[in-house]
Amino acid sequence: MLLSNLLLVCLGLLFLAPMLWLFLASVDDHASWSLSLPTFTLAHLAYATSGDFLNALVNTFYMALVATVVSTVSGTLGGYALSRRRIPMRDGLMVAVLFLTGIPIAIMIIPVFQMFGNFNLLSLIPTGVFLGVTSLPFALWLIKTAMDSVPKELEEAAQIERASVLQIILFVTAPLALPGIAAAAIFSFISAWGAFLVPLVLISDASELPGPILIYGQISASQTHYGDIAACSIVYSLPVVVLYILMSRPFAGGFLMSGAVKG
Amino acid sequence: MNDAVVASASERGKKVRLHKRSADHPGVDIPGMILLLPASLLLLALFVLPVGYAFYLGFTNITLIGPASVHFHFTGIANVHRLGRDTLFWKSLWLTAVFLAGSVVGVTVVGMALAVVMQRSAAWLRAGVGAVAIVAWMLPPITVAVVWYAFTTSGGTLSLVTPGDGDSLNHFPMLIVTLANVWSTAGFSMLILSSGLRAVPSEVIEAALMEGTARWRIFLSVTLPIMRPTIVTNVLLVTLLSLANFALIYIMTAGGTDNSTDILPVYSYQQGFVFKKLGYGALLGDVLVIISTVFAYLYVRAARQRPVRTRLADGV
Amino acid sequence: MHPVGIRLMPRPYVKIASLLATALLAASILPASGLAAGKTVVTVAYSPTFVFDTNDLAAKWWNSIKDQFEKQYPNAEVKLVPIEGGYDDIVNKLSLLYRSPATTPDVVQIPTPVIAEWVASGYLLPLDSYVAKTDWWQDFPQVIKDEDTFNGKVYAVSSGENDSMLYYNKDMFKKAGLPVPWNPQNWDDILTAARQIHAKVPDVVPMWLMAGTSVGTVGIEMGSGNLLFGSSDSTIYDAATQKWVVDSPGLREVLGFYHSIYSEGLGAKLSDLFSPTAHTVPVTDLIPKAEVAIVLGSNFYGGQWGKLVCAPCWDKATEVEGVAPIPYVKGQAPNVTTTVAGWDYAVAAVTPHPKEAFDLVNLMSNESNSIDMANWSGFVPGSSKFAMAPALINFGPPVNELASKIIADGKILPPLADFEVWSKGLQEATGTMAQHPETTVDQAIGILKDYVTNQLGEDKVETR
Repeated sequence: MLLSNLLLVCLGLLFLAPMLWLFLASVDDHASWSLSLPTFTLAHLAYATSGDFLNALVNTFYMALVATVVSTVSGTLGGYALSRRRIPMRDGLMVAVLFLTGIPIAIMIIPVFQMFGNFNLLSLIPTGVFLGVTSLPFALWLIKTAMDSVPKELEEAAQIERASVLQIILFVTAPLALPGIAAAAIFSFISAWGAFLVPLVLISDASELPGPILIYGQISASQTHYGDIAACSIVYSLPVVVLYILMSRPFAGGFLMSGAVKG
Repeated sequence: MNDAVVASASERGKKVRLHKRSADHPGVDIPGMILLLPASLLLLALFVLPVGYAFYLGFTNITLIGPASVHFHFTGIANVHRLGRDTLFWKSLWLTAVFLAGSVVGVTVVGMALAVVMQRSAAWLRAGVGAVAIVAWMLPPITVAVVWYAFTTSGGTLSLVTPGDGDSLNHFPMLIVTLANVWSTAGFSMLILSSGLRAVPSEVIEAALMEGTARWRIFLSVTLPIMRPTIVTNVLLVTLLSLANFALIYIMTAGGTDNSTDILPVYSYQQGFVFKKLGYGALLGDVLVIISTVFAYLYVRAARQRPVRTRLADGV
Repeated sequence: MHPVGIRLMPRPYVKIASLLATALLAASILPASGLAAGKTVVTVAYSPTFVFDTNDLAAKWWNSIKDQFEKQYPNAEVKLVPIEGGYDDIVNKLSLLYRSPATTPDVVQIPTPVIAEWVASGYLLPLDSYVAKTDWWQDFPQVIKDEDTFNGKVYAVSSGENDSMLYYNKDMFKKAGLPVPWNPQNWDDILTAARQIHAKVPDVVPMWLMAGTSVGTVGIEMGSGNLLFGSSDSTIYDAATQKWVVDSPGLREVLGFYHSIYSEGLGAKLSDLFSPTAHTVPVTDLIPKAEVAIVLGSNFYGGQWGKLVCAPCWDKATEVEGVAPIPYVKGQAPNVTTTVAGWDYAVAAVTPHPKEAFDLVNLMSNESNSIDMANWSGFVPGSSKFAMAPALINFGPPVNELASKIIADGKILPPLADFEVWSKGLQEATGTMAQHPETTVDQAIGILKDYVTNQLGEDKVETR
């Protein structure tokens, strides 16, 4: 056990090493790319939690929320249909859905920009919808697989009680498939939270820009504030980390691949 | 019983015969179609349609600025000819292969190392290091890029232990971006491989131990083969994730000096958005879609076999 | 099994769902502004981080413009549209915005090199009748008017220009026994000075010379482009044959200069040259920290060291740092070379209110706004009258004065989309020379030739 502990500590340190700069620079008055003992200042953290950047974080949150709702709701309904209902060419559809998982978003940017532009939808919420759709294939797969493992007896009992389809989904199947649905929701949220290229192209209104775009703007500015970049990066990544802490139990179970990886 | 029969029939590649099942339920399943409608409409309008249009654009001479940005036309296979002659494209393919291979090997090895070591270490240490690895995975791409840029540039943290001017990023660009990718994906792999490792029956391991076989031999000849499906799933998912990882490389190196980190997604972006040749950039994107599709297909085949086999094994 | 009853959603769900849907739909369709009834809204797109020396000054200038305009024209309103990112990102975003009239900004501050492409796409409004009525257009020197004139019509108005010069550290020069003030008459003089610094003043970078692809075409503007325009053959694009020059006596002289600098160890370190902020490393770090002796740099440095911009504050700037124009390779007349490139105001062809749009341009081009823009962004104003105003000259002595003087000797880089390709090719060559100092001039030319030929085709390149 000692050897394992030692090895694990080494691995842990290796993972922490790159993050060291992030913490030091965020409180360093003379921050640069180099690692140095900081001249302590709270100015960067103040900037990262103030006006402009805070607004960007709120934007990111709305965008990710919309994406999660779009992806999870349509994914749950669709996943149930694919799992329990008679859908023509279902297996073919599942294969098609999985193909979509592999398509890089960059190739869709121009057509989507033109479509959204024509309908005057180049703003935060439609971008959130689009991001939700890009996570949808994976969400469908996750939820359908999770629902496949839910025993049918309970649903059959509910059907005998004359429950409607929607009631069955909401009160019987979904609660039991919750780990899969939660996984899909978290995946969609994290994907949308970290989205860079899509908002860069689709959102022009300054007041609607999300976090990554502002940070990127700081990197290419005439005057680089390294400390601000570090502080903003930390603050921007915090919600995602908090999400992990909240959901750590389901994650530790590795339930992500519960359907596809039965040992 | 019906389900298993149908499902295993499709596993053997036969078409799903609806007619057999419709003996139980005549007519089209309207509620089912309605439930599928939101997802289908969204995917059709915002995914399939744009991809189709982007495919078409790859065969036109559209540019981002200039007269051809407004008045462009279909040019047939002219762009494909260009692709054949483009030495940078072939270099880009090669770099993509190197990046993918390096990432997959790196992520699998590190993920497996974490999974294995965690099995026999203190619970608090497991939770702590696990958390660090997963946080590294959840960090948004721009944060990873910023952190690794600072880590590997001259004067950065890594330079404290490397000789010379410490500028690892510019001396070994491909190695560094691959390491950055491994660092940010290993946590995900650790989760998958952990769950696969947990599912290895302990009786088999104990039996081998009692026979006096060394632990590492058990690992190589017993554990790994049992985990094969999990490892394959892991490999394919990591490949897809890495292929999609445009932001990391772009922000860290913008393609690198001498195009040393110009993997296909970056090269496609360069052609479209730096040289403004959207048509050619779209065609490169199409190549990327084809490559991704191949890997996605392999993943589908690997993933589809599992639940069915399990269901049958459970005697459903 | 009995068929499941087809029942639609129970009523409470319907209500909630439709409320949600309506809310989302409304939120996405309702435009952010423009609901102010009656007022003409003039949208203006610009960069909040790349043009001005600091983001705060950018915000200050643009907000002031908005206030001034709305005060002067009570029936109109300005909507500011900032575009995030670096040079390439700005151009890309603008090109996306112009694809549809609904998103096209009425007024834009756009970089000079892409105006020709915008004109070719039909995106810009000819401004001849408008500029004729102003009192400042006539003071623009011909070279600046020319950069905005296409097919005989004026399509843009310069908001300010950048040019380049040699910066040198007087203390290091004195220590090395070099003359102060320094007046190099040809490129050999520059090399001699660099070599002497290398010998007599250890631990400093003898010369900063942009190399590599990390900052895009800006690298040519602030680096090799200046040398090429002062060489024996400055042609980059041969308009007669419509081909890009990939090998010429001029290019060889430039690459020869790079070879001398980098093979003799007279250049800066790679991590600075290849950094994404390479265009500001000299002004923010190397020069104020006395880590470099000679810099081939841009005119925007001058104002940055003053109290107002303070990026960084360097009160020793005027006593330590001297400036000199870049000479021609062999001292040929006029023996002052520089690239000239800047940012210009343009009006969209599809704008529904051209008069108000140009009123905004006119306001931004008046003396006080022009000089503020110039001082806070490190520009030489378009008007030669403003360029000599004391407010400008004294803002960044002695840099600004020299910058204003040498503008008339400047040349423009080819305003064509494919210039991006050529510039990447040349910067691949210079980058390789910096990273592998043993690279010969022939090999470097080969890199440029191979890259451009591969991207544009054999029939688009030529050797002179």
